[in-house]
Amino acid sequence: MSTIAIILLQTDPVIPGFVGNALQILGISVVILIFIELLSNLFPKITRLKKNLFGFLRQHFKFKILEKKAIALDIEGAINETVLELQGELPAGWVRKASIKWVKEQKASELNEGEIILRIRPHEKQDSNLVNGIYSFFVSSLFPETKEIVPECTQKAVAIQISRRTIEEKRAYALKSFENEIVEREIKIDPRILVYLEDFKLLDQRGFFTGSFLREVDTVAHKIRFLPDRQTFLDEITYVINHNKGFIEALPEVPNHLWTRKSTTSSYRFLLVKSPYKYKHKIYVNRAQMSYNDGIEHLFILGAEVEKEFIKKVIEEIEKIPNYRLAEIYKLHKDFRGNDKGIGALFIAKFK
Amino acid sequence: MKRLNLRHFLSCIKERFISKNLKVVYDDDVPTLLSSLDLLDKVDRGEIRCSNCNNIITREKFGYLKYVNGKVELYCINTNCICQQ
Repeated sequence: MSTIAIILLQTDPVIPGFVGNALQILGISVVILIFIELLSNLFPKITRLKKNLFGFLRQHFKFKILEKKAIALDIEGAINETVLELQGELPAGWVRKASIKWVKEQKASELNEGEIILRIRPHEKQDSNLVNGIYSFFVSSLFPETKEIVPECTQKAVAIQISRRTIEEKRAYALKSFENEIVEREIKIDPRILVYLEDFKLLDQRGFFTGSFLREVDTVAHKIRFLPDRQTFLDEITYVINHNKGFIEALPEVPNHLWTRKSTTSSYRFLLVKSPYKYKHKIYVNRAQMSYNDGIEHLFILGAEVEKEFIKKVIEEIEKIPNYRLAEIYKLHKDFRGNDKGIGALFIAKFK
Repeated sequence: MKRLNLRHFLSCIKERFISKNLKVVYDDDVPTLLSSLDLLDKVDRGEIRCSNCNNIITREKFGYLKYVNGKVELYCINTNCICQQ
């Protein structure tokens, strides 16, 4: 595309006026489009601009290509605006920018396991296109390395929660369509999904959904890949949900036994970092050390965005404990108090 | 900590340029797609049922397809899938 732009911009002046000017305008347009394309990679909100532009063109020129482009940009825009936020929240590599690929013909041998091809209807049915596109994207993106191990009903319920959040925040007018078309359909296929929906909503409102639950499930899935525990993974997931739920309900006065969960497969402790007073970080370092002494494998640090500097200090201090490895620092949609934005970190204990 | 932040920042920038394809087929192209998968004749003869609700799939009712265990499964358009049960 950029080569075409250069050729068009360097149009030979001997080409008669009208044609030459037209080619130059075309060249400039291509350059602008490339620039917008690059910008929209960094700032997905720019996709809205593109969507509006193609929407306008679609209304005035009834070309199928414009209709398709407008539909694709709307779906990509809704997904990518969220993906940008989710990339800092979910484990690295879980969600990538969405790119709509129109297919006309497809060989079955070239399809990947679990791959979906979705029918997109004309723009009049755009709500339906949008909710189907968003859900299909998330259901195929989550748990990229443990898809075979994590039970399908859990994966679908997780995708429903993330899609619901995306639609609520980015395209609220399509929420009813999402509930009527997608959630109802999935419940009909597998009623076990119902068990999760309300619990995931609660966990997500306090930052525990992506902050600890998803990460623990994914880590355990890696661990039990070739173990008999894989057969009872669904039960283990239920225990982890109930533990997270019990912990949230007990806040702010959480009894001692609820701070940790240790079974044959999952093993973690919560460390809620708050009260940023001088030297207070030592209390958290001591708790981290105690957690290691108790044989707990994962330490989840959860805190509020407003106490960011103090949380970073605590993370730095725990990093100095040789028995721990800092696996990742991530953003949270909500903090444990239910306020917007939080910070999380996962430490993994190194046992000999 | 600083090292990790820089690495995190670079990986974030990199991830913004990598995309995941979501395959879609436009309404008018459904027959061509089904034909390329050798399914169009079966659909026209009413031999394929929705893998969810078991209703017969027609060209109009086709909603999406999924490749599972080496087989292409067809599903009808969601609203029909729910309403016709």
